[in-house]
Amino acid sequence: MRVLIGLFFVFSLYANSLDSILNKIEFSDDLSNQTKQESGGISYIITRYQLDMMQAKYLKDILKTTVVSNGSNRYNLLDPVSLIITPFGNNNIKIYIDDYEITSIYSENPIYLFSNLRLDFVDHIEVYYFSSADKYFSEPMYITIKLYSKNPKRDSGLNLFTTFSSKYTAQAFNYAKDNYFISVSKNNYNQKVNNISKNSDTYNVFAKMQIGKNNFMFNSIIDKRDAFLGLSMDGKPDKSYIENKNFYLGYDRNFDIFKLNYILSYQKNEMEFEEEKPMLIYLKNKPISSVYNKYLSLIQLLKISKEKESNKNNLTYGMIFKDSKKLDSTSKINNQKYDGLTEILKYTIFADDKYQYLTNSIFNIGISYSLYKNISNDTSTKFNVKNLKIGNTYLYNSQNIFKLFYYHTETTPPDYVLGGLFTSKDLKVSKADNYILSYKNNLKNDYLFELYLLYSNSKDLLIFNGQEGIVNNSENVYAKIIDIRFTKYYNYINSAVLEYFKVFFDNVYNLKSHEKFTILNTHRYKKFDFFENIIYKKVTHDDGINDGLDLDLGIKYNLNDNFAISLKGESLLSSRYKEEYFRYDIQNRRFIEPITSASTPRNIVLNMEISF
Amino acid sequence: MKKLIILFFIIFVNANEIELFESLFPQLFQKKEIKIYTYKYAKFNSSVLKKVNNCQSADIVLGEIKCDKPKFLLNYYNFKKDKKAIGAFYWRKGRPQLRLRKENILYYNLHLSKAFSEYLE
Repeated sequence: MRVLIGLFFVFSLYANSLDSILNKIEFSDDLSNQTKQESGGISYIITRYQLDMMQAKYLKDILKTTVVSNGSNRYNLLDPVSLIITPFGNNNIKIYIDDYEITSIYSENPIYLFSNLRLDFVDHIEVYYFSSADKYFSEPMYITIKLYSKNPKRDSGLNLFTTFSSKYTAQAFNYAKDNYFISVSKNNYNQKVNNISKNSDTYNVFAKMQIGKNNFMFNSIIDKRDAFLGLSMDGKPDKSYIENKNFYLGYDRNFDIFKLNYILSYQKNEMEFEEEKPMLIYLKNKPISSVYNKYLSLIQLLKISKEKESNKNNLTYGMIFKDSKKLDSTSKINNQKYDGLTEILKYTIFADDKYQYLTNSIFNIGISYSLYKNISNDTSTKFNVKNLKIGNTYLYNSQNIFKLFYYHTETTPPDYVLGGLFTSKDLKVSKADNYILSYKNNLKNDYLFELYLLYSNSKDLLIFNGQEGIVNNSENVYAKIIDIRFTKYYNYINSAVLEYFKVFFDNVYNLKSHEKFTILNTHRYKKFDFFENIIYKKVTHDDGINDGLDLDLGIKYNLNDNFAISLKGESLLSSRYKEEYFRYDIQNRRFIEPITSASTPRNIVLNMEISF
Repeated sequence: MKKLIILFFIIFVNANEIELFESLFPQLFQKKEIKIYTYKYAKFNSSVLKKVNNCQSADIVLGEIKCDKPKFLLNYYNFKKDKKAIGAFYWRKGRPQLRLRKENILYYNLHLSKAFSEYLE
C-alpha cells in the first residue's frame, strides 16, 4: 500500500511539474489540432514536435516512415506508386501548402518537386492515404500531402539554418513578424550511383501575408536535376535531365457568405532524354531514342465553397474551376515534333455532408462531378469524372471509434499522356472502388491503437504496351491493405510509434506484396532531443524478394533560445533497402546485373540553427 | 460546431498556461493565493490566481505593463529588452519556453525553489 501511495505521490509530482505542464502546452497547442481532418483512410499527422525531433528537413524524410514510402524511379523522381514507365507516372497525388492546392493539371505529381525542398518553412505535415482530406472538397486521392506553414506570431524573428553532409549541403533563412512570413532556401544534392549522376539543385522562396481577412501566399520552386538512368537500358545514359521552374500566387478570403480560394501559377518545364542504344520504350515497335519536352504554362484555379452548420449537420458545397493553358511548347519524340494538348479545362461541383443521426454516430456522404475538356490544335476530347464517398463513424465510447467508408474514385489520364505520340487514342477514365474499415482505441494520453483494413478494385489503369503505347489495362488490379499502428506516449509529447503495414496486389506485373515495419522513438531530455527510427521493408515479386533493414539516429542539443546544433545518421545499416533498376546488354542481348541504389543513401548530417 | 471547437481550443490553451502560472507563482511568492494584474487573459477559472484591476493591489504583473511590482512577461523580445522582469513565458522555435531571472527574483525577496534550476538565467 505504501508503495502505491509513494508511486501515486511521485506521479502527482511529475504530473504537476513545470516541465510536464510545458509539455502539455506544447502538445495541446500544436497547430495540427486546428487543421487535421476527419479521415476515412490512413492518416499521419506529423506535428511540429515530431518534425523537429526527427530532424526532418525534406518531405522524403517523413514519407520514409509512412505507408507512402520514399521510392524513386529511373528518372530520379520521388514516385512511390507509379506503375507505368513514363517519368511522371502519378496523377493521384495532391499537394497543398496551407489551403492552396498547388497540384496542377500539367504536373499531376508535384511530389518530386517537394521531395528535395527544405521544410524550414513548414510547421507540420498531414499525409492522407486513400481518403479525401480537403475540408471543402470530397475528391478522394490515393495520396494527399498537406504542408502547413509556420505561424509568424510563434516563429517571429530571423532564423538561419545550415546543413552539411557528405551527400548534400543546404542553407535557408526564415523571417517572420506579426502577419507575414518569408522563407528562402537552397539545396544542392550530390550523389553518383555506378558513376551515374543523381545530382540536383533546388531553390525555394515562400512568403505569406495576412491583411485583415485577406490571405496571400507566394511560393516558387526552381529544381534542376540529372535524371539518373532516364531512357537508358544499359545503365549508361547519354543525356538525361529535368528542369522545372514553378511560381504560385495564392489568395483566399472567408467572406460571410462563402469562402474564396484562387491560385495563379506559372510553370516552365524542360526535360530531355537521349539514348544511343535505346530499348526501354517502344513506339509502334520502334525504340524511342530521344524525348524532348519544353513548355510554359499558365494555370488558374478558382474555388468557391460554402459551409452550413447546425447542431447535428455540417454541409459544405461549392465549385472549382481549373484552367491549364500551354503558352508555348515544343515536344519531340525521335526528333519528330508533335503538338500534344494546348489547354485543359476542368469544371467541378461538389458537396459533402456530415449528419449526426445518433449521439454516437455520424453519417458522411460526399459527391463530386468534374468535366474535363482537353483541347489540342486539331481536336478536343471530354472526360466526365465522378467521385463518391459514403461512410459512417461510430463511437462505441470516447475511447473506441469505428469507421466504415466506401470511396468510388475516377481519374483521367495525365496530360502528357493525352495527345502524346505513344498513346492509344481511346483512353478511358480509370475507376476504383475502395472499402475501408478502421478502428481506433485511445486511452487518455497514454496510448493510441489504430487498425486499418482496405480493399481496392481498380479498373482501366494505364499500362505500357510496346505495340500500342499507353493503353488501359484490360485486367482489374486488386489491392488488400492492413495497417496496424500503436503509439505509446511516455508523457504528453515524447512517444514511441510501432507500425506494421502490408499490401497484397493482384495483377500488378509480377509484384505480389509490399510490407513495412517501423519503430519511431522520439524523446526529449532537458536540452537534448533524441530520435531512433528503424524501418524494415520487404517487397515480394513472383521471382524473388527484395528486403532491407534500415536505421536512422539523431541527437540535437538546444544550447539556448538562439542556437541549436544537431547530428543525424541516415540509413546507417549496410542491410538498408535498395531499389533495383534492371539493365540489358543490347550487344550481347542479355540481362546484366541490375543497378541497386538506396532511396536514402548512408549519410551523416550536421545541422545548425541560429535565431536572432 | 466549429465555433464550439475553436472556443474549446482557446479555453483549453489558456487553461494550460494558467496551470503553469498556478504551479509557478505560489512557489515564488510562498502564498496560496496570488493576485495578478494583466490585460492578456480576459477570463479564467482559478482557485489560486485572482485577477485584480490595478497595479497596487497586485502581487505580480503579467505582460508589458508599467508597474513597480514583479513583472512576468509573455514575449521573448520584451523579455530581452526589459532587464527588470523576473521571468517570462513565450514561444521560441515552435516550443513553449519558461525563463526565470535569479537576480531579480532575489531582488524582490521571492523564493527560489530547486524546481526552477533548469529555467534560471
